[in-house]
Formats: sequence, structure tokens, C-alpha cells
Amino acid sequence: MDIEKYRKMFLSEAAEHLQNMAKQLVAVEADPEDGEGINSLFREAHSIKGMAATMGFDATTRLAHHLEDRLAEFRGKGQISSEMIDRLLAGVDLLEGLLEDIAQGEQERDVDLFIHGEQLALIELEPLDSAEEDDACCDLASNRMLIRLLLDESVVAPGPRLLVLLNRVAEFGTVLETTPSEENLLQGEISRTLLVQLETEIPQQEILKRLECYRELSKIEFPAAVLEEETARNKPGRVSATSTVRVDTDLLDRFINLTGELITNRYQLQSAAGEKDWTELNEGLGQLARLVKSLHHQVLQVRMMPLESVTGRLPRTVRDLCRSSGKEVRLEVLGASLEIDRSILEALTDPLTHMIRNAIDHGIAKQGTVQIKAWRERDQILIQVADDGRGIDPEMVRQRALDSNLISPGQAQTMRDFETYQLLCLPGFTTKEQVTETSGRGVGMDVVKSVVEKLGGVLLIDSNLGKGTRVTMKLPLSVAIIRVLLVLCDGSLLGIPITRILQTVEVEPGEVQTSGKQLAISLHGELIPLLSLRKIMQRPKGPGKTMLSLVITEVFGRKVGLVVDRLQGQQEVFVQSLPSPFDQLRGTGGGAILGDGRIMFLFDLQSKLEGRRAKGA
Amino acid sequence: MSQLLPFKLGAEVYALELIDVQEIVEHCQLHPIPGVPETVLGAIGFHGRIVPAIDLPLLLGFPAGLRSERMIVLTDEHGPVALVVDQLLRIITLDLVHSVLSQSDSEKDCIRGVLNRSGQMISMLDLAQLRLLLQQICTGNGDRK
Amino acid sequence: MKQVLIVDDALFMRNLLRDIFEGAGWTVVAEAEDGFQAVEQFQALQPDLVTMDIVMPRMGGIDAMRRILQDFPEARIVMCSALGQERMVMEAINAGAMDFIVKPFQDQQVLDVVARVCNA
Repeated sequence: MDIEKYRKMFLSEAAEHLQNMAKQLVAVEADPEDGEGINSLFREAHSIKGMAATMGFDATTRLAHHLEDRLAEFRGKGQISSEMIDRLLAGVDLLEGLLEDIAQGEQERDVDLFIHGEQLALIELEPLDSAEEDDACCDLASNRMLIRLLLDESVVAPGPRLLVLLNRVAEFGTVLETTPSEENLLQGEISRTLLVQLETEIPQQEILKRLECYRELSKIEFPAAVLEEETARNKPGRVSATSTVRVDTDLLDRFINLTGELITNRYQLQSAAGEKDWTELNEGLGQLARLVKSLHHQVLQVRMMPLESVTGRLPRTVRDLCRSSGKEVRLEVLGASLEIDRSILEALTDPLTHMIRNAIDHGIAKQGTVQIKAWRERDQILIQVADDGRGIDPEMVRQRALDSNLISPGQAQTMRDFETYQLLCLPGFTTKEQVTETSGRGVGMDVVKSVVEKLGGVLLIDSNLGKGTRVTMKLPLSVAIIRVLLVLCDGSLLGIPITRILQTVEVEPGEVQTSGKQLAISLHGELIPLLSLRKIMQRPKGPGKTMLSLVITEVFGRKVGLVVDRLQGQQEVFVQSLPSPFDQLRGTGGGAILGDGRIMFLFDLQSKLEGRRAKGA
Repeated sequence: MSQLLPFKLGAEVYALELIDVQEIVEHCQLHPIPGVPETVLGAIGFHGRIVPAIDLPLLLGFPAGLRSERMIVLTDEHGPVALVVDQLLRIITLDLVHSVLSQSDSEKDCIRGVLNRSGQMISMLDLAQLRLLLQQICTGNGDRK
Repeated sequence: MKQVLIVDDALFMRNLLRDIFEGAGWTVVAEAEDGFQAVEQFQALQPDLVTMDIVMPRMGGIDAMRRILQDFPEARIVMCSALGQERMVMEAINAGAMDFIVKPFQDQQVLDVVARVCNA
């Protein structure tokens, strides 16, 4: 489907233009005399208009045109007022909404209210969306009707049958919406009912007559209204505009070259195997290993996107927060060109926004700077959000945790500051009595943390009272392929991400000390408590051994030694999640099939312990 | 006309429509999945994918017994998931429409209907119910009987 | 008298369909064993209806249908599929097939589909 291809291209390009617009608007507000800024805004709006018109998206075209006109006026005047920036930003928001509608395959939302609302001076934009939605589901105009078709049990190929019926119904008028959607049907969704919202001139009786020849139908209904659920179920999760990738032609050429080399290699191996020439075969295998590695590297390249694609929208967030809170905050972004795997980036959008909001809301008192810094350290990406605000008082955090029974008085006394800050990530923990509108809603630090950990990363919080707070995310370069340490536990093969491991050691049982119930060992003068993997996994005790294998890792910011049956070396693995619904099993992460056919599962100590804690509570 | 794959759970005969079956695998190495309920026997490597294997008799409340070495891998629409049963029987062909004896009314037993094939009662496994049951087990809601 | 072109690589299926159509008063103007023959025959004869097998040697039914529809967008084509080819059937419908029948089929099922397609 070519239209589909162009639609996706349009969506991703238009989204880029919009992001640029939002960024430019904020920049122009800071420097209202910036003539070049207004010029470039004008060009962006113009581009969107042109693309939307080509694609036949009428509302989008009109709105972009409207914004273009306004900008042209300001281009003449050479400056824009803050109120006007507000309005233009609202226009950009509305355009984003339109793109969303287009992405969902829905009708574009109304733009006239916005365009003509200008004459009405003050306009409330918010209610527009909801009113529109109400219209769509309740007010079925006289020529709109709902048809529900139910296939007979005996129909062998329900998917194709519904598709034929949908095509037939489409001949009666304009299909507004269907459940399941045509797309879902094509992707193999199994359903025996089809719900169609149709705009048609043909009376019900006539439609019934025309459909009656389908003996595959056991029922034809014309419901007056539909339960929300029935249609909602069908809406796919938000179709993100970034699901297409633009690939550098250079990179494509390299793929072709690699493919060529792989083909040559294949013949080399084939002939070597035929002649039982082991030297040649070995050489060929070495070559293959090199090629595969190179291919892996290049494919990862395709998945890489600069951090800027996420941070690009943050100036807007900061600006809005400043306006609503009356604070003066400067945003600095360092390392925006750093490239990160797109799936990681996409997951980071919300956490980053929330971290910024926290910094402005809780950190900065009146004026200050929020700095985002990204850099790479070996196989890890570090992204840090730092503010020069009030900082967090560890004493206050401990007190609050104590009050909410999250920790015991004993713990409160011995807890070190960096551990204390981790408490901020417990669900429901907040240091501000009064939850503000901005950070009170949306994701809390607990969600930020869980996103980071799902990606195989670590979240660190560090604060200096009176000087500011730093929140750092340590993330792997790519999610699909990670390096793990393989360990055995009662026959199960588990993989611990290398990023989580401080070191591995083997100790004699005699070195284990006891303090109360807790077993521990002393390592470099530090006392490290021991946990048994078998116990955590609720497996029977293993036989006594002459040497204990330990994996030293950090849980809740504290070092622990995990006792495993046996260490089985490191390996790079391609992680896949279990098929649904098994991917929802608590404490069971993704797995990987190893080269020798064994299956390994990822093990994450912290979430395992949290899971148990949550269960016990 | 429909082709059925019958199998035994305890002393009862159940069946699946062949169209829902992706493959029947034999002598598959079961790899333990850590931290799962006992109805999940482990995972198998299935054409490069990790597919969980379910102890179907146990899941449906049949007594423990010797399970078949062959597993039924359902199509991707239903999982994919591998079902371990007590014994696989020969594939049969029959006219489903004329053989429906009774619709099952119980929601718990995963039976979509019962066929009578020359005196032999065959329960048609309800895959939608099965999925719900697995869902419950995986999210930890609703205990097994 | 209506004319039909039967496309299927299995002689057995062609004969079966021929019997059904002739029994209902149709003329089978030609049979084709693969997609290439189907396209040629259609261009030459322009029948009222085509029954098109999906998987065939040399050129499959979906490709053949696409070629026919390119020159004759009004062509009425009904796909014949085996069980388990739902994806392909949907691809075919998306590409312009008017309806489909699933093997094994009964006479009446074929005639129902044919009647609908011809009345549409």
C-alpha cells in the first residue's frame, strides 16, 4: 500500500517540523527581535502546509496555512509578543493532535474554532477535544448508522470473510470506523463480529436486504449505540509517528557490500566443507564471525537516533513550566548529538520530562539552571539531569520514610545519604506536602526508576543540600543484545546483566562470617552481606561445597554478595521476551537461546526482591 | 468438515482443531523457567523462539501422571505455547456441525462443546478459555483449583 | 448464459468446479493450470467470472489476479483457498478479489458466492 508508506513519511516529517517550530518559538520569545528565527518558523509552517495539502489532509493544511499567515505578519513587524507565542504554541499543539488523528486513521479534528476563535479574543482550547469526542460517539447524525455483523460458527476463514463483508458494506457509503479495524483484520486478528460505523444514504431495510444473501452471517444488527469498550478495545496503542526510519544511503550501500561479502563467504564455506579442507573452513568461519559482527554493528547504527530527538521538545516544557510557576529557569543540554538506540530513547521521553519537572518544581526556588548532560562510558550511556536548586535534605527524607513506615528507626540511623535518596523512588513517596499540578501527576520517580531498570539500566540520585540535585540514568547502548554473566541455580540457567555486576569472587566457606542471622564476607575491608540465589528462587538447599561462587552486585544502593551454584562465564545474548501472557510473569524477565541450545533467563535481583517486598506488604 | 487432533487428559479425550496447531514436537528439551508456577513446565527452543510449555492436565485439574513426550505447539494466534498432554491420539476428520452434542455451560473447564463420535465423547478444548486461564496464572490472579 | 474461467493446478479441482458450474447452467469457457495461462485466457476470452486458485506453479493466483485487474478492473475474480491460507486470502481481497471459497467446499457454497458476486 503506497498511500500508507507516504502517510508514515508525512507523519514523521511533519512531526519533525512541528518540533522545530516549538523549539524556534521558545527561542524567538527569548529574543523577540530575532528576524531569522521568525523566518525559519514561517518556512516550517509553509513546509507542513505543502505536505498536508499534497496528502489531502484538509484541516491540517488550513491550520498550517493560518499559522503561516500569522507568522508572515510578524515577519513584517519583526517581532512577536509573548501572548502571540502562546497562541502559536497552541496552534502547534493542535497540529500535533491532527497528526495523531491522521496516524490513527481517524478524521482530523476541528480547527475552525481555533482559526476563527482569534476574533473572539480569548479562547479556551482545552474543551475542544472532549467536545469533539462526545460528538463522535453519541450524536449519530441521521445518515450515520451502526451495523454489527455476526459470523456463523461454521465459517472457516472468519478474517477474510469479514474483510469481504467490510468491502461490501463500504459500497453502501462511507465507512467511518470499524471494529476490528481493517488493519487489524489484515494483521490476522481473529474475530467473528464486525462493527461498522457507516455514513450512508441507503435505508436500513435496504442494507439488510443486500446483506441477507450472505449465509455466513448468523446475525445482522443495527445497534443504536455502542458500548465504549467495544470500540476502545480495538484502538491500537498510540501509533507513533516515529515507526519509520530514514536510513542514510551510505549505510544502505554498506549493507549491500556486506551482503555481497556474505554471499562470497557462503561459497567459500561450501567449497571448503565439500573438500573437507579444515584450514580453509576455519578461515571462512573467522571471516563469517567478522562479517556478522560488522552486520550487527551496522544494524544497530540504523536503530540509533540522536538524543536531541527527545531533548528537542524540552525547551518548550521548561518554558511552559516557567510561565505557570513564575520561575526563571535556563535549560542547558550537553551531548544532544549522542546517538542512542531508538527503543531506549522512546522509553526515555516521559522519564526525562518528569525529571525536568521535578527539578523545576521541587529543586529550583526562584531562578536557576537545569542541565541535561549525556555522555558515553564504555558500553554505557549516561544521562544526567542536574539542577542548582535547593537540593534534598536526607534527614527530611528519612523522617518521612520513617513516618510512612517504609523504614525502621534502626535503618533510619544507619542509612547513608546515597541510600536515603533511593527512597525517593519508592511508589508514592513525595517530599512535597502539597503536590503541585505539574509533578503531582504523570509519572513519579518510581516509574522513572522502573523504566530505567526495564531497559537494563540503573538510576542514581545524588544531592547537595543548598547546592542542587543530580539524577543520573546509566543505560546500556542497545536493548536487544546484552552481555550477561551466566550462573546456575538448581539446574536453571540464569543471566545477570554485566552492567549490574561489580565483581565475581570465589571464597572458602570458612571465610563466611555471621552477624546475627546474616551471613557476610569481608572484601577489601568492607563487610558484604550474602544472599542465597537458591533461597531467593525458592529452591531446595544445594549440597555443601568446597568453594562458594559469589556475584557482587548492588541492591538498593547497597553491596551484596549473591551465592550461586556455579559461574558459567560471560556471553553476549540476544534477549527475547516470552510470548504473551507469559511476559507478565512477575520476576521472569526475557530469555535467550544460547549457541548450544540451552535457554537462559535474565535475572534481576533488585526487582525480584522488590516483588517479594510488594507481595509481603 | 474439520480435522481434529484428539489427545488424552487423564481418562478423558479432548481435541483441538488442527487449524489451531502449529506443530507437534517430539523429544524436546525442557529448560526450566525460574520463578514460574508449577503448571509451566519450562520452555522449549522452537525455531529460534522461546516457547513456554504448559502441563495441560495439571492446569485443568487432572491427576499427575506420565506425560507424552510429544507436545502440541499452538499457532501464534494462541500463544505460541506448547501443550504437554497425557497421550496424543490419531487425527480424525469429521463434520463438526453435525456432531455437536452439547454446548458446555461451565466456564471453568475450558470445554467449548462435546462431540459424540460413534459413542466416544470428545471434549473440544476452548482456546479462548485456556488463554484466560493462562493469563490468570501469569498475573498471579485467581488460584488454580 | 454465463461464462467462467477456472484456474487451478489440480485437475481434480478443475473437474469438480466444472461439474458444479455446468450443473448450474454455466459455460466453462476455459481452464488454466497456472497464473500465466490464466492471464492469457482472460485476455483472450474475458469471461464473466474467474475462480482462482492461490498457490500454483510458475505464477500464483494473487499475481495473476493483479495482472488481470490492471487491464480489466471490472473483472470478477473469486479466490479458491485451502484451509490455513487466510493471510493470502486477505491479501487477495485487499488487492481486488471479490470473494473467496475455502476448499473443501460444497456445491451450494460455491453457487452462493457466485450468485452474490454476479449480483453485486
